[in-house]
Amino acid sequence: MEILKIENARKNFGGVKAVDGLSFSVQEGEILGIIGPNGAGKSTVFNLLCGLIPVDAGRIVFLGEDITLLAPHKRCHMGIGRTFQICQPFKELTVLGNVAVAAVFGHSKPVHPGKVKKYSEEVLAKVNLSSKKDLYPAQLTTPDLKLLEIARALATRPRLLLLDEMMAGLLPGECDKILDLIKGINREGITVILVEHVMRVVRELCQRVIVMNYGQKLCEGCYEDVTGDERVIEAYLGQEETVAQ
Amino acid sequence: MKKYSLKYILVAAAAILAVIFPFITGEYYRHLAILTLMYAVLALSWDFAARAELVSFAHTGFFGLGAYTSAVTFLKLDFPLYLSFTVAVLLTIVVAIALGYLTLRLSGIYFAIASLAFSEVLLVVALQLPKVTGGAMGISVPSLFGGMRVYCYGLILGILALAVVVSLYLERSHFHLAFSAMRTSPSVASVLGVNTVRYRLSSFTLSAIFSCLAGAFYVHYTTTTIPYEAFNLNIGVASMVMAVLGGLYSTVGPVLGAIVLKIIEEYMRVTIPYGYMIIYGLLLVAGILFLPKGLVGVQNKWKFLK
Repeated sequence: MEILKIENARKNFGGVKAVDGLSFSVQEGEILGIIGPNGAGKSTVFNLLCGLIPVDAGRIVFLGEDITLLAPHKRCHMGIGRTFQICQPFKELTVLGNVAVAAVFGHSKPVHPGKVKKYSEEVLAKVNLSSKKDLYPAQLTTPDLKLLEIARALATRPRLLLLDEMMAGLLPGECDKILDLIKGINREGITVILVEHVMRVVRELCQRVIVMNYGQKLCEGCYEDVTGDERVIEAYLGQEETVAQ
Repeated sequence: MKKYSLKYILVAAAAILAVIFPFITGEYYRHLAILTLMYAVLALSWDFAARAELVSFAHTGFFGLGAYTSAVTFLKLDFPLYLSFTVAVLLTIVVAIALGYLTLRLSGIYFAIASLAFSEVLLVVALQLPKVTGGAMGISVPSLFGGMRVYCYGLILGILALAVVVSLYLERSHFHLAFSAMRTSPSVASVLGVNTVRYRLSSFTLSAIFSCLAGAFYVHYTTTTIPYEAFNLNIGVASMVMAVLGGLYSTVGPVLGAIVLKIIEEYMRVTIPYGYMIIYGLLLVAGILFLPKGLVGVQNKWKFLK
């Protein structure tokens, strides 16, 4: 079943065509990767999908409903969750409080007020942050902040999860943990779109990859196909050794 | 457990003192206490808006709107007191929601400027409608409760108690989570499902209601006001200073700030014949410099040292 469809989306920032007539669709249960050089419009696509910035033209359909004009919190209630490339925890709240925000507000059927704490603790346990639930974000390390981003998004009970460069700034070992976490999330039936620069992660996770360049779709296909594509090598990957590793 | 019981004892003592205060003191202290409580309402109401990251100068406007609506309906339409208060609150709700919607896209200093303009516009309106408001000559109403200060004290204490109850609810409910999230980032909050428009408007409207009540009380208590007094920017600035100095985003902070500052101000006014405002100003500067988290923060500082 098709969970998300974006049709001919456009977004200009002044004279820059950040997203230029992009169309793609996502099947329920899959993990889709979006790769491309810096400035290709990947993060803008996420912002369009979660509603933080409106499209200039085009349509976005989620679960069969046109959500093009829907406010971000309503899209969240429908089941679109996301993380941010630069971690943006609520600094006045503890780790548990951060997750509680998502638990209380993140779904059209809210968690019962008496169960918010227990529910949030369960979500934190899922991402292995239980021991740090009473700390403030300023006391967390980068990998933990990334986990908090995921925990918050999960607490909204999403059907579609948008992960924006989760691996940036992480060591390979830390990457592996998050990689397993994403696999687990997907196994629970949550569809995932991820923007990623670490190709190993894309290769291991994504059934399908979209390559973007200058706001447009350069090509689409399985990992081997797109990374073998000459246009992709020229625009993004550069030398062949990078592909081979 | 011990810490909590001390807290409850303090709160209970303060509440008892607040109730018996007018019976154990004279007219002068009663008057002073009434104005202090009124400013406590204003400071707390200013803090309601601040909790949603709104630095507002519109409180002067709502104070004046409350004062004038209540006075005019009381005088010209012969409304009883409670009805004139109710009409003032209803009008304030409509105006606050409208202003809130118009300024939704503004934040920080831009919102502050827009709210300042709102207060100034209302001042001009009050001046330019002499048939309704009495224009620059002002408006006079019969004295509240026949001038019985004890009843006036009771009324403003009741309004403050209501504000405190609302504030405690905001602090302990989902509002607290929404406000804290929005203070860090409204857009991240909205992506996590927070209806930021709704929470911003509700904090602003609640805040406006209590400023309006303070204004409505003020005009009936002092029996007369002019536009330059009811729409005086000092009202908004004083409530902001009291909230900031007492400690933002809390219930105790703004109330404590109002009480402490009002006492200092009055003491200086009486003891220093000339230029007491200069010393008062210097005190405020020192307060902001050394107590960035306000008077409430002092307690936390001690906790930290231990």
